Amino acid sequence: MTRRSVLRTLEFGVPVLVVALWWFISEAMPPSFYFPPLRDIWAAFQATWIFDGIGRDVVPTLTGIVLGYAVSVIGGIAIGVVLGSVPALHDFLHPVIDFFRSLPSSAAVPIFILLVGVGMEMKVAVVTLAALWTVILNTSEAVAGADPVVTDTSRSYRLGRLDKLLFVTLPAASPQIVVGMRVALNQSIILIIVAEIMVSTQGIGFFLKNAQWHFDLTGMWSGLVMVGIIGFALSRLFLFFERRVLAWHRGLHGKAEL
Amino acid sequence: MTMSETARPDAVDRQRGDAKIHIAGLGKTYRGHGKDRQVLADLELKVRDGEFLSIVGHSGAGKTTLLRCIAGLEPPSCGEVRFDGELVTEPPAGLALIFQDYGRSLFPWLRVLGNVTLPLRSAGTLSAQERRAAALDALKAVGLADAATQYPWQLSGGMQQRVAIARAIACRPEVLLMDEPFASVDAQTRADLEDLVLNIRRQYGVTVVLVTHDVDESVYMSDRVAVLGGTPTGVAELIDVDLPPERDQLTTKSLPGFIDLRTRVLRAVRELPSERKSGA
Amino acid sequence: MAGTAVVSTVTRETATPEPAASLWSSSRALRRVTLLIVCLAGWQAIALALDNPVVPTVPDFFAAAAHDVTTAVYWSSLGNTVAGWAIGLGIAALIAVPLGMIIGLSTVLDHSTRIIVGFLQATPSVVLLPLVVLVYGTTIQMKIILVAIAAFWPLLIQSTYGIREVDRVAKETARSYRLRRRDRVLFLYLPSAAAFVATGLRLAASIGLAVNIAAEVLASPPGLGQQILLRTSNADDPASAFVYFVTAAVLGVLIAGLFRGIEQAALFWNPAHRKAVRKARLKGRAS
Repeated sequence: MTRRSVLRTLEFGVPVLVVALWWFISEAMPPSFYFPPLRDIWAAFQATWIFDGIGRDVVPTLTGIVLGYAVSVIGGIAIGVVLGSVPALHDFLHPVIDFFRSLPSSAAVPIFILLVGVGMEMKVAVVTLAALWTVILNTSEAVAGADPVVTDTSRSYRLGRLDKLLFVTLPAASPQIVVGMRVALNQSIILIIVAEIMVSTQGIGFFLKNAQWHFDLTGMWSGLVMVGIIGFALSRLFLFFERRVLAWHRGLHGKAEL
Repeated sequence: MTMSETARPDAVDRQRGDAKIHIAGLGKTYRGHGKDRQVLADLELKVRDGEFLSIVGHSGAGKTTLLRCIAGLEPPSCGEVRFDGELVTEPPAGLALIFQDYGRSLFPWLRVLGNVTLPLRSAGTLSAQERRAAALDALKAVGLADAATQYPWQLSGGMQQRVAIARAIACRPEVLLMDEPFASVDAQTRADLEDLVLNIRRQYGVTVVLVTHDVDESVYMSDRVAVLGGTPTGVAELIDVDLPPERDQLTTKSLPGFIDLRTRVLRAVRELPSERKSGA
Repeated sequence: MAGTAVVSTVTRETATPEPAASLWSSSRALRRVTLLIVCLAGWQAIALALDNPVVPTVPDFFAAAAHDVTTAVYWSSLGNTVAGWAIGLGIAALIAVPLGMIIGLSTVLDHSTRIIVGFLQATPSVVLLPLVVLVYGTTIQMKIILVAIAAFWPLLIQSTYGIREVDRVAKETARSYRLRRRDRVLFLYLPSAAAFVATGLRLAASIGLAVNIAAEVLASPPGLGQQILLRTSNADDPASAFVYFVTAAVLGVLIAGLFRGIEQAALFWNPAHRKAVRKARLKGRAS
């Protein structure tokens, strides 16, 4: 076998092996309360999540993630483009934006609850508190740091404002904007779950807290597996999006894989 | 070996009339931390309609600065640039600039056709179909009609620069400004591109201002060569290239007249006194 | 357009000087102070508009802060937060960095673990909170474990990356000079990887703090988050909750700044990084 195919086999084979090992070892060992056998977890998974659980808990969580993320990304890119285009304003406001980005947003959840209640608005607000600044900062840095040759070319060809924005500024900034979007996605997921664990009556966060209260370990582990799947699915989705949007960038820099 | 008309640029120009671009008393100073660096001072130059003018000088002499002032990308610190009599404060219509760094000037997220049509799109005077036709014509003129659907970074350096040239001429400019356009390509490609530009100039009747550090190139391609020099920089010499208008890489470059001219330009660049025969 | 006569040949005699760099653009301190004032004004306006005691007006805030800073609770909860964060981060670093480097050095390990690591690191560590609370209760150990798990992944991935990305030409140079393995590790791999590890440290530090505070808010082990929760549920001290919130925010900013500084220091040799730094510095200059 070629070296490459050996590596490929390892890449897919080892995880499968690990899961199999987990299954058999957890069967064979004496029962541990906190780490139930994989077989039981699988049974709980099937019972819970396929398919009512999805409607009951996955959908509200995903809704929260999507809403908060959308507000952060759209608002962030818009504000970021404006800031990046006015360097003086960018320099002036930079410390404030950096401040909001660096603060641990979970600390704001109790305060937001008192301010906005416990509904979807609170969740969106908390996510925005975290993710908006990340997107703003990445966007404005990318726009402000645009390659001077690109800027000179658009000026010398007297490109119109809208054309410049759509065909030059945004595409040129997109690699870094996408980086910000990736971080913002992670932040959105984390904060939605925090908010749900804290105050919700539905959603994955709530499910896990509920399982904790009822000492339902198999249920909790099945929930963890579900979260893992969702996280993995979202990140693959994002990767797919990134590949499409930045295909030219990979081609330019000659990377075979990102 | 005659001295010929290198004495004073003004004297020569006044005889010949119409200036497409008039640069008068141009000065440019850059502010550093505490220190000001005056790059250009009191620069006078007239670019005639339809001519091919090369600008040569040492690296750091200010050639690019001068070109950027002409192109309207930098405001002069003093003096002025006029294009067709109008003061230049921002990039004027009718002028197209070709950058040395084609890799960064062509937009990597657009295909070749997209790159060439973008300025036309902004100008807003043509329909989408007309733009596409104009772009394809320009690409055909540079010999790259087949590359329209590729990305610039899939092409070689020479081809990318040709795309940049196509982008410029698709706009039907009156003046083409070129900032060391062939510095980043190999010698063989450079020769091909030089001839391409000469063809384009003939075909489209554009005025061309070429900034280059390559003395041979400046003489080969131009009607006149402006040598920048001095500190701060001004026009040190203006040399007429009295070679036959039909230029060819092999024959032109072996003409005795060519060798004389390149020697003169080289001396001027190196700021050596010109050869003087008795008197004059 | 041929034949246009030259219209004007007037040359200005004296050079029109560039406008002098204004006081505003040259004094960073002035800009920062103005920003501070603007922010305080904005804060005051928002606080008045919201009219909710949990967002106190600026004077109320400073009054509450002046009081809280004198209490023992303030400093003990700050200490608890920092301790949990630091210990968790330390544990994660001690395990993840060497492990990551080992994985980076071995292609076999690298490929074998790729999917597992990819899957696990995509999971937000916060979801483990209910499980860890069940096992450890609402104690500092619970926090430390959560922080360690959260901080583990960026450190692992960056350490692996750091070894993998050691410049190929540099590696070949080291081999062609027949450097001993020990020297190669000490003088080539470790310094190169150090920069990436420093980045990983920065990421891990901020993720660690975020998870720490989240754990405190959700499960109430001792710390700043716990105090915020306490004071928002307890009706008679809402302004104080905001004080603790601001403390957590400032802590986050300080940590981010500290680790960014470390990262810069570790990256001083990297040409791409130096170029970026130089570019940022030059932005002020060009006229």
